Amino acid sequence: MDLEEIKQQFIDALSKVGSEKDLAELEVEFLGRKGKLTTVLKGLSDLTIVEKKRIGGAANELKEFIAEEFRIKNLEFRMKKWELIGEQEKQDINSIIPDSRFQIPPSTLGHIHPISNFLFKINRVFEEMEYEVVDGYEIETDYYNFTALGTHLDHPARDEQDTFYIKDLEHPDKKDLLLRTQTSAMQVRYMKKHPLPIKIIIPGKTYRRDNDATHSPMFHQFEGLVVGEGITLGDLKSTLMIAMKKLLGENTKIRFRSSYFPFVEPGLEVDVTCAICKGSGCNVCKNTGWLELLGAGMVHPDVLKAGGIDSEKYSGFAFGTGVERMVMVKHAIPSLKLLYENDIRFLEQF
Amino acid sequence: MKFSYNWLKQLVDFNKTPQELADDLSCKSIEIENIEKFGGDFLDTIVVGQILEINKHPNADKLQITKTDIGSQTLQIVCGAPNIAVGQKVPVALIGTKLPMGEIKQAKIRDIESFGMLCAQDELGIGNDHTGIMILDPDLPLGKKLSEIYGDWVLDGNILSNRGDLQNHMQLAREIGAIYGKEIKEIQNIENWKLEIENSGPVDVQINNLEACPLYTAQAIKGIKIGPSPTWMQQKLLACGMKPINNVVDITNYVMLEYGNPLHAFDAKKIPTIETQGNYPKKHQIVVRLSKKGEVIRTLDGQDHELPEELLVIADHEKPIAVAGVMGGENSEIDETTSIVILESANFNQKYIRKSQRELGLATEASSRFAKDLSPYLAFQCLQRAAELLVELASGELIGGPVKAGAFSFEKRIVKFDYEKIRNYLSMDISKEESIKILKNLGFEIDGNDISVPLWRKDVGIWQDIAEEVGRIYGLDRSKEHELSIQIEPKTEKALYFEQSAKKYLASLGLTEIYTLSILSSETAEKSKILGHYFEISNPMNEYDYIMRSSLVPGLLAVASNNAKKFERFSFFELSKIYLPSDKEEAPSRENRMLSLLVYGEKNEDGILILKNYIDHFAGAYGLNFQYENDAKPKEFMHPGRCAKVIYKEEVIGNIFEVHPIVSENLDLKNRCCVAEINFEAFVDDALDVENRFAEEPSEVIYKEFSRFEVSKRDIAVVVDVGTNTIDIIKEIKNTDEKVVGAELFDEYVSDKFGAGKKSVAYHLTFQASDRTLNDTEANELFDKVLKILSNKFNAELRR
Repeated sequence: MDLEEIKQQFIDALSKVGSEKDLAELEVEFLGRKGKLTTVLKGLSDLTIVEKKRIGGAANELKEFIAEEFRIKNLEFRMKKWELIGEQEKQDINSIIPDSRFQIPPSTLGHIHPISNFLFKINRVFEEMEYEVVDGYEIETDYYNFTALGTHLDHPARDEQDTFYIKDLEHPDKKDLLLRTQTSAMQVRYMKKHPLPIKIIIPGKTYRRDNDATHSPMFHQFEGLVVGEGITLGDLKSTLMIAMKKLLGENTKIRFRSSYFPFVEPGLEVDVTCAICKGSGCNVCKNTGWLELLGAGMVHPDVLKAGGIDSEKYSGFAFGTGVERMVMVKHAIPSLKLLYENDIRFLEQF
Repeated sequence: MKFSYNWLKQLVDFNKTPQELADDLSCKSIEIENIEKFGGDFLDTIVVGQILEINKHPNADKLQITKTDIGSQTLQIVCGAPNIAVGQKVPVALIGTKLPMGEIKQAKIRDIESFGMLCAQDELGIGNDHTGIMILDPDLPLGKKLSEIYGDWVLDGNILSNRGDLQNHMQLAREIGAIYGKEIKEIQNIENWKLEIENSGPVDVQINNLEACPLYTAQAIKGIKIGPSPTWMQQKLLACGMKPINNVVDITNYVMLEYGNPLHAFDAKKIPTIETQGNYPKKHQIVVRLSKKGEVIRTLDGQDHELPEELLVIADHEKPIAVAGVMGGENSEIDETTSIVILESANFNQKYIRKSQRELGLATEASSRFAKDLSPYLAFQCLQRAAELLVELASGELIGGPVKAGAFSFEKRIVKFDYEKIRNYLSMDISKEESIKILKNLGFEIDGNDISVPLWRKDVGIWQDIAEEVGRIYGLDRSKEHELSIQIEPKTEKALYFEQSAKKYLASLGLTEIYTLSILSSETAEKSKILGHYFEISNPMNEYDYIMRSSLVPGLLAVASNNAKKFERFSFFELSKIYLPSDKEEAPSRENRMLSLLVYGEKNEDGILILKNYIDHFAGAYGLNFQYENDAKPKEFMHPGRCAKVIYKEEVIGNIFEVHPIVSENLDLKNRCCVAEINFEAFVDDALDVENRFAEEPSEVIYKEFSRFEVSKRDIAVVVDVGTNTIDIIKEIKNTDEKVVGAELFDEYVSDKFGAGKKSVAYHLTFQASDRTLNDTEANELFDKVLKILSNKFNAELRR
């Protein structure tokens, strides 16, 4: 039989199909083991190579066409069927459920995610120290995330492989919006809008193009920022001493080490007493007794200037860290993945 | 980056152990991530020997018998390596040496006595060459311990991105000097090095892109005799993880380790010349330019690369001869026949180097240095230092002087020195004299109130930078604590308090909070048929994960789908943001908190009503009142008869629905699944009784690992007394065996047909082992065990 003929027959037959059963029969008629199209395809082996190519190609095309039509028709039937069931199962939202089927208080309590709970704690600690808690944008401009923070265009962090950029549908070459890589992105935005002095923490989600055993493309940070007159490194030190004791325990000590972040000067790395071994040395702290926990420093004068602040008159400090690692240390969670897998067997432990 | 402890000690006088040095550097300069002994303790009993005689082994073709002089005596040693020859000096492991591969013992090898072993480089733990016995410098004295020649400690340091200048021993020694109050020992003739270069050699350099290559210097050297480099140089290279090759290549690498600028040596005869006027009518032509698409180069590692557009290359008049700053090309490589060398010392922009590394998948000692910002000043230093060494150690003779293209200013930056301001800023009791001493040891020059910044430091330009220099070397940890006196009136947004409060309240209703990623995969979005979104990522990590969510529902359903493989019934919530187009000039986006809830596994119409009850309880707790309106125009993903709008103050703030069965099928959700999503921001302002205080739930939970092996499921129905508590039954079931991980009541039915005062209770049982998947027999045994316990404790009978 001619392929065109088969196609026409199929289209005619399909238009007459009235039920799922009809459709199934039609499928057998065309695509079944002894179906019309199957017979053509089987017959191919008797043909010459040239004919095989010509007819074989067209036959396979037809086969795909028919299969797709079946799929669409089938979905149509299922949708119709569900419309019907929808009608049968129709439930008025304002009817009342018998109490026996909904108990408050429930027999088992739900669970708060450990990241939430740790963020509550961070907020509590800084609120006790009279900080304002501030929410920032996760989709930020390149300016606030990088330029205003002194990350010049050649800096490795600006490389595309580290930062997610948002597609600008009108200007495909423009890379203006991005997913913030650090909560510090909120610093200059806040400075511009608020009078001095400033004393805030910014908890929230951050993003980097990393996905492996120890990195998740989305993670959480919190950032502290204080700006005013006569702020010194000594203020930063006392602040972190108090905060870390409240956050990690009364016996926590801190240590400042030299480091570099483009938006602070001097920049430093802050180590805290290892929360696991209390400083005596263990696997988690690689036997040093210290955990490298925060980045910090005195706010760079260029950042203050970007925020519209006179950097000769005022100074400030900033500090920040990742939340996940603190959560993992606190609960001895061995893998970052567990935090975002949302497996009930994990969640119900908290 | 690797640093040799012994080398640093030669450059500056200090008296600290490797560990002490590493600790001080980590606090004050660069973080030392690892300290490793270079060459094991066994090097103490491996000595320099000289082969006096080689004879064939009578019983083995591949073995030879040597007589080797170790100064104090001559030893007979059997050796299997073919590369030995009479007169060579070689490492001899004496009897008793405990090599990692085993102890050297006096032994008969095929009937011939052997009193030690000649060693290959890898056996000494100082390299990975195993091509033959390591041939030592002929000038080494017999009997000298190898530990005295090669023993060292290697410090592995993490160089920060602003301190490219520290990627060498000289500058790290300067930091160490500043830390311990010492000046470094500059090499003797550094004063003779020129800063200005007049082009006076037979090389013509042309830079086509000054941004990519601010400075290129070169020196031609003739009469080069290729040979091995001296032992002291090889030791330093080996300790820093580099392989000695020949004197010319080793000198370029050595100078890079010493002064920090990567160098390259070309064989001049392989670089064509052009006709010019002046002293040198023929000059070798070097062009620094960006690659054209499709150009090819075979690099020194033997790999062929087809170059994409715009990689920085060094070329002759037509073809690339090196990937600039990354690796040389084979077509201009030094070999045994080389006699004229063109030495390159240039400054390349870090951005271009990183691009080459990325595009070619190639990272080298050179490229990793250039990938951090280097001062062009280093290029001047290194060219002249390497030229000197080529004259001294490879019998070279300079042809004319150095040539250059590009520019570098030798004017030093001046920063005002305000001691009081610095002391205050740092909150440190440091004297002016101490501050000045630190700065001087770091190479700063001080003239009254002017500090001039050394040319290699690109990172210092303002007084705060000077404060950092003083502070870090003095010790940032010595900053005196000062109680912060700043006071503000915190104006924390209500939404943040309400968010915390809502999460706690929802958990108290029995719902479990989840955290899903804000980046959705197209697959997740498609499966749930909720496809609308506003923001896309232009450079996603893979072709799927590019959607910034505009609804929490797809993520919630994906989590349900995963958990439904193991559980029959659960309920979740997520309270987090979605991403909508900005509605304000100054806002980059509108990030809107949504509250999304999910109830899975309820029977019939219960799901959606239970879900609604949750929402009503939630609203009621905050004095809110939501209305519901059956949805006449259900969306594709909603069960057409079970969907409604949630209404607050006459506005639709969300919807509540059972998931359409076809969507459920897509997601492998076997049971009914109901979802609600409401706009949290819509009622933040009106919510009552939100406590304006943060507080965590006390939690000392230590996570316990759970099994990921397949679970086995069984249902059990038993008849018990009407008064039996169904929760007590669950407790007993769970106590049966540690492999009984779940028990859930799904039916409770009182009827006389079970006997007077009896009822039937039915449970889903879940069995799982921590180390394997249970087979049917094991699952049946557990079932029987549970039944036995229930009949013992509750007089239960299996319902047939």
